[in-house]
Amino acid sequence: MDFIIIQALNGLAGASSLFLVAAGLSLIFGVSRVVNFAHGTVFMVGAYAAWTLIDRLGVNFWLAAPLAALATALLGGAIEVLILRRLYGRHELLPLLATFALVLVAHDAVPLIWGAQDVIGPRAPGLTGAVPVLGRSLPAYDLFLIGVAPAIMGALWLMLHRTRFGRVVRAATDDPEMAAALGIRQDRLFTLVFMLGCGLAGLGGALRLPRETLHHSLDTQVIVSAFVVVVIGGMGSVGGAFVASAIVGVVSAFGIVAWPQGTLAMLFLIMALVLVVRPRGLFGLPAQQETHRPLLLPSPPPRGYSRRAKLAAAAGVAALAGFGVLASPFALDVATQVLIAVLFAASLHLLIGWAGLISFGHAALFGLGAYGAALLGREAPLGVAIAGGAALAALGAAGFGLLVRRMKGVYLAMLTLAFSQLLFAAAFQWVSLTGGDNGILGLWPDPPWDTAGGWYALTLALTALALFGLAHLYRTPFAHILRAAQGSEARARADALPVDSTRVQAFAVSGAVAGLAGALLVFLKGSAFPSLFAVPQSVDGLVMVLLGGIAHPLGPVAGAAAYSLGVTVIATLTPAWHMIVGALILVLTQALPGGLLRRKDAP
Amino acid sequence: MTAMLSVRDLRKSYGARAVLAEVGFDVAEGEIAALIGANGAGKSTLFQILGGALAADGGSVLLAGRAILGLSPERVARLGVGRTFQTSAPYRALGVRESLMLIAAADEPAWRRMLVPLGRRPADAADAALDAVGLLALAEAPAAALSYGDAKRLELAMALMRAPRLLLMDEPTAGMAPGERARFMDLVRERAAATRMTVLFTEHDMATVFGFAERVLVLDRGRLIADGAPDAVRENPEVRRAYLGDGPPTKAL
Repeated sequence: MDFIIIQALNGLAGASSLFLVAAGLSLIFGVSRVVNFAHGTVFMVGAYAAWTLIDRLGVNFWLAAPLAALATALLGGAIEVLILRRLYGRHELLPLLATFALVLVAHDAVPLIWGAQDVIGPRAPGLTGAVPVLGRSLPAYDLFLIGVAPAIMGALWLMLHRTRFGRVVRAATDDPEMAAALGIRQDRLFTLVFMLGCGLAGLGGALRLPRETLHHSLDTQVIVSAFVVVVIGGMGSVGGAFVASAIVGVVSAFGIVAWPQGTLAMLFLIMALVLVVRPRGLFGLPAQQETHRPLLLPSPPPRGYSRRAKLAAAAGVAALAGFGVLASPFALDVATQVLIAVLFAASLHLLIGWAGLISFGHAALFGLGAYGAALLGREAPLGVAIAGGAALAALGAAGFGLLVRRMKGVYLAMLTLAFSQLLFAAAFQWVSLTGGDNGILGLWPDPPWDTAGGWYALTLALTALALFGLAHLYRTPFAHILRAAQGSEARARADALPVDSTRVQAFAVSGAVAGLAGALLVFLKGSAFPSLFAVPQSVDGLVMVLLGGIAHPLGPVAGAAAYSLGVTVIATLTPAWHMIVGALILVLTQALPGGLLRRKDAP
Repeated sequence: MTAMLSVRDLRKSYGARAVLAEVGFDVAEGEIAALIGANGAGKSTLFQILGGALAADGGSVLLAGRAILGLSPERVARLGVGRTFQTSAPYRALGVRESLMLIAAADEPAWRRMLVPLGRRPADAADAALDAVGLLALAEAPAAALSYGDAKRLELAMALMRAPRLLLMDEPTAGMAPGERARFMDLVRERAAATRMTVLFTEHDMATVFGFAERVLVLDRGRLIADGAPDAVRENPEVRRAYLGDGPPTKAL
């Protein structure tokens, strides 16, 4: 019993800084509908800023923490004004892409500024001792942290309910369009709320400093937990973030003891269960008009593709085949990876572009295909392994689609993230089947596919086949139903269009194509690792789709080719390629917010 | 004559607020009935429940004797209920003819919907439906490019595409000019007469209500307070007090 109480207190202490991050994330989402992917980065920068102030400049911790919060608030203001402001009113994923670019920049910039070593934070003056609780000693600072969350919660509540600014924030959260119509100055409000949210995250980072080691991959760790908290609590609800961070903190504290590697998966399972019972989280806003602005894909030409388009496609495949004969093994290896990226991006674009269904966890389907093929590949012939991988991913996607067929927007995106995290955990934990961390090795194809050229040829043939299949599907009622339901769902249902079942089929087709991509990668690399299921793989897909242009049927092809080639080239030039790629994405979101390929009439 | 639509004891509340309280009425086959009431009287809630988009707290709804309460909008549509919405929402990404051809493909098996391109299908039924509402000349246009009135006509054609037995129209003429209103409702009346279709519509414009409805139902704060021939409803003192404003008949009537 004592152990339980001590561990719960421990969890609540950890929950405190998580609450600060999540509350900021939730406030920002509530007012501007921006999912700030860089919120974990702001948290990390806040922690490093506090450390610099204390360790280098000799500032007292209790002064350094608010100063760090102020610095991150200013950083947030700069991000909002310089980067995000131009992206409002466009596709809801664009701010996500831009803030992800910031994560990439920070990935290299933070070790450059603060060094690559872990940093042990200084202790908080005055709270260095321990307090006896139930016969054990608990750090005094932990008890202080336990008190911080309710104190900040109280301050935020007072601000939201007793000040004019707070009332404006709440009005804008409840109904952004109404608030705009009432003459609330959106640009100033968005900037202030973004600054407030980032300041809270920075404070959270600084307050965590005396308790835990600081390292430069803290950002992704924190943002994933913060997403879970915000979704469980309900997007836009500060009170929800408070309750959910306590739940997440306590569950994590017990999970660390009982099942360290499975803790994250457990949290995602809790999140998924909450969303199934309460689709908008514990305290989410009641159902309201979706602020969903689909960039609609144009219909294909009713009389079919022109002769010119067909000739161009055939010429493209022929040119790529010719490349396969002439190019060096290294070039072929790169080209094969590009083709696999094209397949993966095309499968994600089917969900996002055709159907308006946002997936943050598309790696789940990629990984299912890869592991399916890898497990079959040890026994069965190559063709069976590839087909089996694609089929497994299609089945997994269909099952998942069946569960989430009525969900949309950010909540659907978070459930897809949970799905991929659960599979990620399974790949890690189910060692007898998957080999766990060590992966599955030695998966080389038989002749004639065992050379770079051979595998390139097979990948090219299957990619071309899949893309032609998608191009055909794009002209059928299947695709038209997805498009119709994206813009006018109630109308589509009233016309007896089978919206739900078509979405499940879309998941299945997307899964088959993503699974094919994963299977092809396994035999290119000769191995399968849990990282195939991980968040970076999903994010790569999103970046490729957004970069290429959501509103163009060939967007994913252009985006995948540009991104995967670009990363390969830049990575050979400099180890700090994340930063360069991030900066390039930032420039592209500003200069070409619609992506590389755009419809002529796109907004 | 059997009732095409039979509503009994329908209840719906949001928290403590009753939006519909024991609403019951019948609409006979082939009848054109109007449902009127002030904003917030429960008209749209009732329509959403009839169309399957919203769950009721209790009661029953029969379509030609068959219970439809609690079915999904798709099931309700398949059983013969067509709908138009207050804010018309044609498929903005599709063309005018394509929209109707798509609706014609709704009942196919999934494999066929994924195999045969929309452009390779016969367009006769879609063109006939467009001709019936006077939109054939715009068949090739994108639905998003239509004028307001034409979008309403397209939505009517979409709702009629499945040859519904009952057509529910939520404020069909909102935002139209008076002449356009009459032309639109004439079209509805003509289509209803041609197919013996039953029509139930909500409307704020009294000239449209009393010009086209054969029967008028009046909702007031979730209760049905009158139900009868237009003239009788117009003279009903409770209706006058609750909705039409207690005073001498106004020009709108």
